[in-house]
Amino acid sequence: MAFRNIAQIGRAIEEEGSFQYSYFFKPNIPQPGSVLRIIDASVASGVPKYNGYVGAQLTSTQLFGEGNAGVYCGSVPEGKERHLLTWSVGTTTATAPMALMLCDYLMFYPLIDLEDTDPQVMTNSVGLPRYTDGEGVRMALVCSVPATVASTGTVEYVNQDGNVSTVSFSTLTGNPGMVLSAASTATQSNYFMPLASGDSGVRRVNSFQMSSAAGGFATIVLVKPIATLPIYETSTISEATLINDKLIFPKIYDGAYLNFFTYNTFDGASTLRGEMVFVTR
Amino acid sequence: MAFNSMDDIVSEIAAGKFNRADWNKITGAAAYTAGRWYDFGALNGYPVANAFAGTSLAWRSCDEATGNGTQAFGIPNGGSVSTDIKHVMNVAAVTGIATGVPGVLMLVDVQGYYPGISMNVNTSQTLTGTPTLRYTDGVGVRAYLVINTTSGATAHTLSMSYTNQAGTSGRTLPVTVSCTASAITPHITHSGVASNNYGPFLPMASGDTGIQSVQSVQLSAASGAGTASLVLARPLLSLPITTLGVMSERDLLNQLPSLPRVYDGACLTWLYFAGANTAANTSFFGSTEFAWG
Repeated sequence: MAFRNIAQIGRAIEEEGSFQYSYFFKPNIPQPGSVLRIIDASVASGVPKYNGYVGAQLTSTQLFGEGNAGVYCGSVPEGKERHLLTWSVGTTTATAPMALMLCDYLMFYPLIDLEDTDPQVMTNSVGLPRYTDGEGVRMALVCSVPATVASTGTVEYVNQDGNVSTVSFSTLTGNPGMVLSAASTATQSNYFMPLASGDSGVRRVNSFQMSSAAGGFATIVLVKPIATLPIYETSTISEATLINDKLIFPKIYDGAYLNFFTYNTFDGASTLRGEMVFVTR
Repeated sequence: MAFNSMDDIVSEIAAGKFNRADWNKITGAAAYTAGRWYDFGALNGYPVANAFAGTSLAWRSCDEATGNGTQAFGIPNGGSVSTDIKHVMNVAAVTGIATGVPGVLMLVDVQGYYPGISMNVNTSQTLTGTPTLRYTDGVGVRAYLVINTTSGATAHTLSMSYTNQAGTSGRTLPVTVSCTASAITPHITHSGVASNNYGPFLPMASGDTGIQSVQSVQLSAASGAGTASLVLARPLLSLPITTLGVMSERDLLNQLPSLPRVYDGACLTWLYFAGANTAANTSFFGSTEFAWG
C-alpha cells in the first residue's frame, strides 16, 4: 500500500516500527590511480560485503540484495512498498569533495576481454530482475583486471522499447573497481556508457566489441540510479531526508541490491561510513 | 491536476509518478571564454548532441521523444503525463575540472529553431514556417543565436524581426547587438563581455514578454564564414556550480523558482555560462528529477 502523506511516513517510524535502519562501512574504496575517476564501491570489502562479479563469462547474472550482499534494506511484506527516506555518508580520508551515486545493481556480464577485438556475444539466460522494461537502466563498464591502454569500441543492446541499438564508447586505462567509461576522448570518467539517440534505458546487452586491444578484463553492470549525495568535505557528514531535501522518495524494490559509485576529485583510497533509513507501508 | 500539498507530492511519487535522468556532457576541442554562454545541447554525451538538422531558415520543432526529428537531444523527462502536471523537483550538476567552475547552468525547454542561418551575408534572411510552441502565446519564450560552424573574423551585429507574445509582428531588438567574431561552436554568439554583447538571450522590444515566431534576421556585415541557428527556448531554472568537485544541487520546492512546470513533450537542455576560461574536453555530470500529479 503506497504512502499517501507525510503523516503516514512519520507514523511508519514512530508507531508502526515499519522502518529499517542500515549502516554501511567501506574501509578501503580502491584508489582510482588518477583524479576525476569513478569507482564502483561494490567491489570494496566491508559492509556490505565485497562484490566479485562472479558468474559465467559473458553471461547475464542477476544481483539480489540480501543479508550483507548490498546495503541491507530489510524484507518487504507482501502487498507493501518500501522507500528510501534518509541517507547520510561521510569520509575520514582526504578525498572529499566527492559525489556518491546510489544505484540498484540489477545484472552483470562478467569477464569481458578488453584485449579481444572480435565481437563478444553475450548469453542472456536471464533478464532484468527489477525495472524489467529497462527504463532508466544504464550500463557501467567496471574494470576487473587492469586495463592498460585507452581505447574505443561498440556495444549492441536492447533498449527500453525492446529495440536493438548500437552505440560507440571510449575507455580509459584503469585499475580493478574503476569505471572505465570515458567521456568521449577526454581523460575523465563517465558514470555510464552512452546510449543511442532517443534511448533512455537498457534491457539487456547483446554484444561488445573493442576496436583496439586495451588489456585487462571488465564487467558490464546494468544499474538503476536511485539517488545522488555529495560529500563536501572530509570528516563532515552529508545527509539528506530525501522527501524534504530533494523532493524524491525512491521506491526500493524487493531484492534490490544497493551499492554506490563514487566520483573522485582526488586520487586516494577512501573510507566511507553512513546510514540509510527505509520505510515501509 | 497540480500538486496541492506535500502530502500530495508524497502520494504521487510513491505511486510511481517520478522520473530521474542522469546526463553528461563534454565540451569540445576548443576552450570556452569566460563571460560567454554556450549551448550544451550541441555537445556530445548523453543525451546525444543536437546537430541542428533541418532545412536552412525553416522552422524545426523540437520535442522530448524525437528531439529535432533526427537527434533526440533533449533530457528524458518521463514522457507525456496529461492530465497530470509535471514539475522539475530536483537538479544537480558537478564538474571535476577546475576551469569548469564557477559557472551557471540554465535549464531551458527548446521549442525549436531556424537552422542554417548564414553568418557570411549581410542581406536579410527570411525565416519560414509557423512555430507550434508548447507555450502557445509565446510568453516567456526567448531567442538565442548559437554558432553551428565557426563564424568569420569580420565584426558584425545582429538585427531581428519577430512576432511577440501578443501576436504583434515587426518587433525588433531594442539595442545594437554585437556578435562575436570567429565564434566557435556552440557559443551563443551575441553573449560575452564585449561591448553590445547580451546573453544568453536576445533582448526584446520594450513591453514584450515573449516571442511567438521570428520572421527575419540580418547581419550588419558578412563575417567571412560560418552558420548558426536561431533557437526559441523557455528558461525554467538556473543552477550555479561554484566549486570544483562539489555537486551543486537545487531543490525546486523550497528554492526558487518553485516547481517549474515541464510541459508534455518538453525538449530540455542546458545552457552554460562560463565563469572562467573553461578548458577543452571538460566533463559535466548531473541529474534531473521530475514528478507529476
